[in-house]
Amino acid sequence: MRNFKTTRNLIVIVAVLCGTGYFRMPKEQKFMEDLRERKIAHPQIDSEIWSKMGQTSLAGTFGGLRSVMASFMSIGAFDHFENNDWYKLEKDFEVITALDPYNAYYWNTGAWHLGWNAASWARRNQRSEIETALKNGNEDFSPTKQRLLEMEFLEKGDAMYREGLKYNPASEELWFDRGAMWSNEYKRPDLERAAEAFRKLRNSPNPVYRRRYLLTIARIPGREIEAYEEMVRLVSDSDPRHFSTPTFRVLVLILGSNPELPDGALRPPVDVVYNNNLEKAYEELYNYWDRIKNDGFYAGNYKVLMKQLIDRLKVPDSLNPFVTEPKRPLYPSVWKREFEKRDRDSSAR
Amino acid sequence: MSRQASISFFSLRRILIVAQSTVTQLVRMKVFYFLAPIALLFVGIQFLDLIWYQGAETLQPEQELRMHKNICLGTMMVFSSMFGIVATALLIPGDIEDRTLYTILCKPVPRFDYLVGKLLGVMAVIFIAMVVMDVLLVATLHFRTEEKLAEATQVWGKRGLTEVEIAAGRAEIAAHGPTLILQYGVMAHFLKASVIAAVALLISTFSTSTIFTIATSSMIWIIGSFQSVAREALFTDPISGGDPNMAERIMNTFVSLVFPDFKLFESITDGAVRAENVLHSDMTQLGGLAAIYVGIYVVLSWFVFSDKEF
Amino acid sequence: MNDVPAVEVKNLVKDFKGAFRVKNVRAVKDVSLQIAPGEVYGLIGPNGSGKSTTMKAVLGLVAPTSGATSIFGRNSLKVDSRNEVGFLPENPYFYKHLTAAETVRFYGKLCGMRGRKLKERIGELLELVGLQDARDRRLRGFSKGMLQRIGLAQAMVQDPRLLVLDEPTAGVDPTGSRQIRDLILELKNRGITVFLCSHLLEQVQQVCDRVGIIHQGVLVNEGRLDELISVENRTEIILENASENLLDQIRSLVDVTHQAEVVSEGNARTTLEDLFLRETMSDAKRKAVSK
Repeated sequence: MRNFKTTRNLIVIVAVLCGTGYFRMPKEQKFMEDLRERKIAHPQIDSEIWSKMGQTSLAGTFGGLRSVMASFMSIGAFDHFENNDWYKLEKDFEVITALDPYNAYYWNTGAWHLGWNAASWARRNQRSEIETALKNGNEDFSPTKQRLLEMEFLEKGDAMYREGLKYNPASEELWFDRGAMWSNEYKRPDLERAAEAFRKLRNSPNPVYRRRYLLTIARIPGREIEAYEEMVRLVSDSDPRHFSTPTFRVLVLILGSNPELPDGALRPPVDVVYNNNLEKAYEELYNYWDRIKNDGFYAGNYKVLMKQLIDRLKVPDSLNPFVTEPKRPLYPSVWKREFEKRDRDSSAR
Repeated sequence: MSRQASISFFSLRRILIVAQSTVTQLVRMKVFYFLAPIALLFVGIQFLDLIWYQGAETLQPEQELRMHKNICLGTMMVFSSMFGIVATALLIPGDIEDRTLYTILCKPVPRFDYLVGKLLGVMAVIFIAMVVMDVLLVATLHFRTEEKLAEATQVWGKRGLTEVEIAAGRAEIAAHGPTLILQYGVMAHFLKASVIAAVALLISTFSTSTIFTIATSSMIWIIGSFQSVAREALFTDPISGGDPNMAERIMNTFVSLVFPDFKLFESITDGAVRAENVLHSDMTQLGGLAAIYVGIYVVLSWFVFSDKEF
Repeated sequence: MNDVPAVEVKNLVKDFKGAFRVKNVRAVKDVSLQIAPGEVYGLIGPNGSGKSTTMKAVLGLVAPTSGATSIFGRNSLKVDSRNEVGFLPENPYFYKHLTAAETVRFYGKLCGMRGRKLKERIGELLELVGLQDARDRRLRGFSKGMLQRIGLAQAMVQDPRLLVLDEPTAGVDPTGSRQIRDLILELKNRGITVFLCSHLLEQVQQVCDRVGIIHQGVLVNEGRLDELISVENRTEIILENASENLLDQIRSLVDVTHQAEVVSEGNARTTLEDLFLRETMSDAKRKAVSK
């Protein structure tokens, strides 16, 4: 009788649960879909990530401790960074970002480690080691291999940024840092990719972010007109902080000096841009030449602008780059000293 | 003395009497003395700058506050779920062993009232403990948030950000502080613990050993965390080119129908930690779902317990 | 109302399912008995005879395989029937974290009692069972006898018309046993029906009006105590201060009738319990107990 009762009870329990489950399931599914759409619920973890999880993180997932596990794993992953264990770090961050995908911080940190730190490590990894290894015929440290390794990590970093942006499209830090990685002149700059990232920040409340798109496309040949239009858009922003940066001030002049601009295009005069401080204008234009040469910024009608200022300011020959070999950057103290010398000389004459 | 002609099937008063007795019984149990102080201590010490608040993660104030919330809520979740299982598993077998159950059931106490009273007692203890932990969480989080706000305001001020920008930044940090949405996360944990306790109650009505009850309830707790995986496999189309595996479909169907979905509760908490827009209507839905689960398990418990012999 | 038996068991059969490959056990085989209101009924039998099972069936703790049990006309399986009954199980423990007063209060509340009435009842019962000095002590510190007494108190809290006692004096010292016995007699005087199980036959003999003997699940004998244990053709006369001469005369009378014979003679015996009490209790207490 007891066994019959136990069996009967189990059958009834399972039957009732199945029956109520049949009505409950669609509602739960709808609720979960709604939470996922609003990014309150995490997306499912795919099978590849399951296989990479250790026992602890797996246990945390089942117990409802995903975010906590992600936090602690993130702290632990820092050790891999200190030990230059980049592949272990990558694996850990794949798990961390799977556990807490709506936290842009983890995507950003993982991409930073891979695209910045790992790539730098690959590029300049222990010169003496490389030389010794090459002397010993160890091809693993050849420049080609180093470059390939660097590119591999850059791409891994970029992939992490892009994946992170799928889950966190509103994260300005992710867009910015991705753009910064690809526009960094000390790495392998890819300005098109950088521009693609910075474009998303054109309407950011942060003026620094808003300007980056302009600063990037001003370096891409063939996009000068677009850069000019972007400059005009930012000027009409009326945010005085744009004009507080030297590069922006100079770009306003340079982009406005583009001879291919249509008639009637806005070409802000130097007096207006620099508030009649022509010495400042000259100083910044003088220094801008380095940016043209080293960073690939648009030159525009640089020489014409410079010559106009040289004439207006009666710049001494020592500060005239077309007469004396320029020593850049031009500091205000040097400017002041040379102009005082010019004034003394002209009074003496 | 007046005799009632018949005893009502359900009496809130009787249930509350059993619940009150259960509360005093539980708070004097060793398992409570062990779990509760540890949980309280762990939540309370988040006030200090422990080692996990000194890493790179905490360069961002929002990230540090998230970590604080994650750790505290994680502690509360572990405590409430474990206690819900262990305490409930010990109740009925303990009463049977001591024969206290005989004396109670020989009074005019319907078995349904006894079961509901026991469960309510467990839920009351969990609730009280979580309220205390929540107060600690709010207090420690408030201090940390104020600290982060002050630091950030100073830094932004030096960087020359406008008042509007500073206010926007402060609002972003404050959103990760103690807000109503965070309380939704705490409530979600309590609701989950209530469902787990109801599961343990059901199993204890037909289980012959406490260990079995605890082990089975724990297993259901774990399976419940990925029930949604099984359910979603039923609702989403199969991968193109692949044939649906019949055995997997049967397993997914069984898991989806029989086991509770704890992922919904955990998702609300995760969202609350991330300061996402968890709505009042979400909590209403979740509360309704928890009530349905608890109701089903209680009715099934009564079904088994009603003709159980002692 | 008086025609309704306090307890009625009709053709009770109870089977327990055996473990795998073990036959079912028939614990109670077609037992029928009735207990009239106000009676003290003792169900006696060896261990495993079905006493506790029968008792549990009366209380609704087990469901009959066949047959029926009722309390004052109400089916035992219905919760209604529990209004009228108080139960003291064998070796009860109760909630150790409660005090004596809290324990009685808890059970009183379960029976629907409240307020001043309950408060007074608690005091009354604790005094009745002799635990008023221990009312605020937790049950964790109680001795066996004290637990039995608190058990009696909770059983009586709602002033039931029927008390069911399973081995009420098991493990209790003679003093405690005597107190419980006297309590049962007092309850009987108040008209409360008592149904008790015990295998301490001496004590059953002292309190019960009717006795049922159960063996291997069968009620083998039942009836009024004095009828069951009296040896019909034997008469007992106890004399005090009888001289040897008087005793000789009585012996001669018996010899003369040729119908009876002296089976045995000797000094009348007291009981070991009385001797124990005499040796261990003070005069005042002994007088109180002997009342």
